[in-house]
Amino acid sequence: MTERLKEELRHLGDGAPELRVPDDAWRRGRRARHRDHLLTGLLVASIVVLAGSLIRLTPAERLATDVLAPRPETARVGLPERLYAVPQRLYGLPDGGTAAYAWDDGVGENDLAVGPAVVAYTAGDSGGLPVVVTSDGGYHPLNLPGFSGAAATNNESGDTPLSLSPDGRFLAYAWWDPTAPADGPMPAGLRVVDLTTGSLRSLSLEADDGVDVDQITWSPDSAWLAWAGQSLISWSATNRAFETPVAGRVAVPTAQTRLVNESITMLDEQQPWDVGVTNQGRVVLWSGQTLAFWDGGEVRPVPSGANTKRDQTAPPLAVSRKNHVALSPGTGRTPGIRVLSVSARTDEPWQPAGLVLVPDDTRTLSAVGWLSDDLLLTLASPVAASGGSPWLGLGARGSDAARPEAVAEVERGIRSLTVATDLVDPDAPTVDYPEPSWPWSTSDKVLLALGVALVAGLGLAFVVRRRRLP
Amino acid sequence: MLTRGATTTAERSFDEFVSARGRALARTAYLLTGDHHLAEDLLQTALMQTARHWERIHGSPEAYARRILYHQNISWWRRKRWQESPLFDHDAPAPAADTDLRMTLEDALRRLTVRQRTILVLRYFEDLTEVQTAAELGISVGAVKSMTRQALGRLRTLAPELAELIGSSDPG
Repeated sequence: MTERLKEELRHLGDGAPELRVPDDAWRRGRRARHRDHLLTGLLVASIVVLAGSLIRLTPAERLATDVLAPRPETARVGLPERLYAVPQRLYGLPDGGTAAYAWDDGVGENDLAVGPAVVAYTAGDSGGLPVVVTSDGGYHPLNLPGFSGAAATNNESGDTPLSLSPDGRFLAYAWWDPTAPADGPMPAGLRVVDLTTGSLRSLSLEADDGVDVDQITWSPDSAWLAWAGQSLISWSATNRAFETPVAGRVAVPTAQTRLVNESITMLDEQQPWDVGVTNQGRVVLWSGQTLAFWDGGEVRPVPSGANTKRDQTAPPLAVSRKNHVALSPGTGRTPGIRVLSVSARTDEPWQPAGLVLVPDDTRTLSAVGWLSDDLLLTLASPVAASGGSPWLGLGARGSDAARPEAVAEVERGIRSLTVATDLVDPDAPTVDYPEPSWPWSTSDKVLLALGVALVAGLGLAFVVRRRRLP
Repeated sequence: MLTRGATTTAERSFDEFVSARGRALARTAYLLTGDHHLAEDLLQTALMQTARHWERIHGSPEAYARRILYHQNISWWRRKRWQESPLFDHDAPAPAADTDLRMTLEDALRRLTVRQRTILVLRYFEDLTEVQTAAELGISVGAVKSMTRQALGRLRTLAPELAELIGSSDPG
């Protein structure tokens, strides 16, 4: 019976109207094919971009400290066994040295009340991203208002001055305001952050056209600040001229003491000076050839017998509670740190009080601070031609020349390292803190969001197109 | 990737295929849709997709194009299902004035659902077995049997005078 149905259907088919077959079916089909290839290529590329951005944000870096178990309050405080550098993605913005910041605003924390810090440093080649490592092991990049190290412009020495007080509570740094009108003095000076409260104190330094501070150091009891820098005749965001070395001291005011803010011009105006300060507020000055001290009156040179050629970018002097002064190493006769004892009398030569020598000829030493009156924390940095990473070591002051013993690793890319020495136990100086969590920069977030959106969109388009096929 | 020469050869092969089998595909498209314009759209889509995947077609391009016709027609129906009239409107017998058997069959086919019409076209116009029909549409053989039975039953309801074509009961 269905044979009749088949026959009638054939007749119906034969009687079907003429259908137009498009001439461009082939071309349209090929165009669709090319779109398929393009879509597939974009999908693969977006997956690669997404994978790349995820790799860039390595799991170790994204191990959030806030999800780690909180450290108990009784946990010991000390130097991290390894100091981690800031990933370059956080500060490597190609601003060409014209922007005020060389990193995203979103990278640094605006709330400066991060708690007492055990270490502070800066990161970055052209600008210095300030980072503090708090006593719980957390790494905190900070947005320090006006931080001079943050400005990639007009910082010839490359110094990014900041200094942590020995008790870990205060962070002092140099600031300036390059946006100020060019016809007046450059607003610049010192700022001190109380890391326990987040409060900020500004100290203006009066000079011709502003003072560019490049060294800051604390007295062992965290009561005094000493600084050194250049007084400039002409200083703007793009120009600086006629530098004169200057230094000064500041007594951090407490309920019992008043603010002291004094500055001096150096004896020798041709070269920079290193600076340190004792608990009594005595400022120690070292030019590489001349030792001097200053108590608020005249600068008095003192014979030292320690004549070396000073490094151009030497760190501040380290002064102990018993007024032992560790002089920056030079390139002269002694390739190490020279320790002198400051006499109570101002007219007596300072007495040699030991040496801390470089461990080998591939490293240079600089004094970071005294953990006790006999134990000096030093930074051993590889010389430019040699490889390896810097490390922190302990050198004992004594009659025999001592070589420092490494206690903590320091990753490359860390600059202006400063340590709260009161928080470091000389007998057990290091603590194994977890690896830090670094924030994602805005560009990373945008890249990731774009990658996810692109993959999702292309994946959806791919599925839709595939479903239309037989 | 195809070279320019290879592309020219492929295009020539495609044109030969369209010249040879375009008319047969057009007949199937018309029977599947029951509408001149829809059939034209369906045929164009099938040919464009065939051109798009020309290198990937290792067997018969006609079989590939036919498969696109079947599936694309059902896909369109799925998207336009809301446009269809309620079933009871179509269950009324065709006017008695339609005495011509073929006209009656054509009209009754239009009143079937696309799935039912596709099943009948594949089984009785393309002359596929139940197994082949199931494979073409990607459904089970049982579903083919069931839908064939439903389609023929509906034809009987819509046009009792088609009993001489399809019988008065399920052909089994």
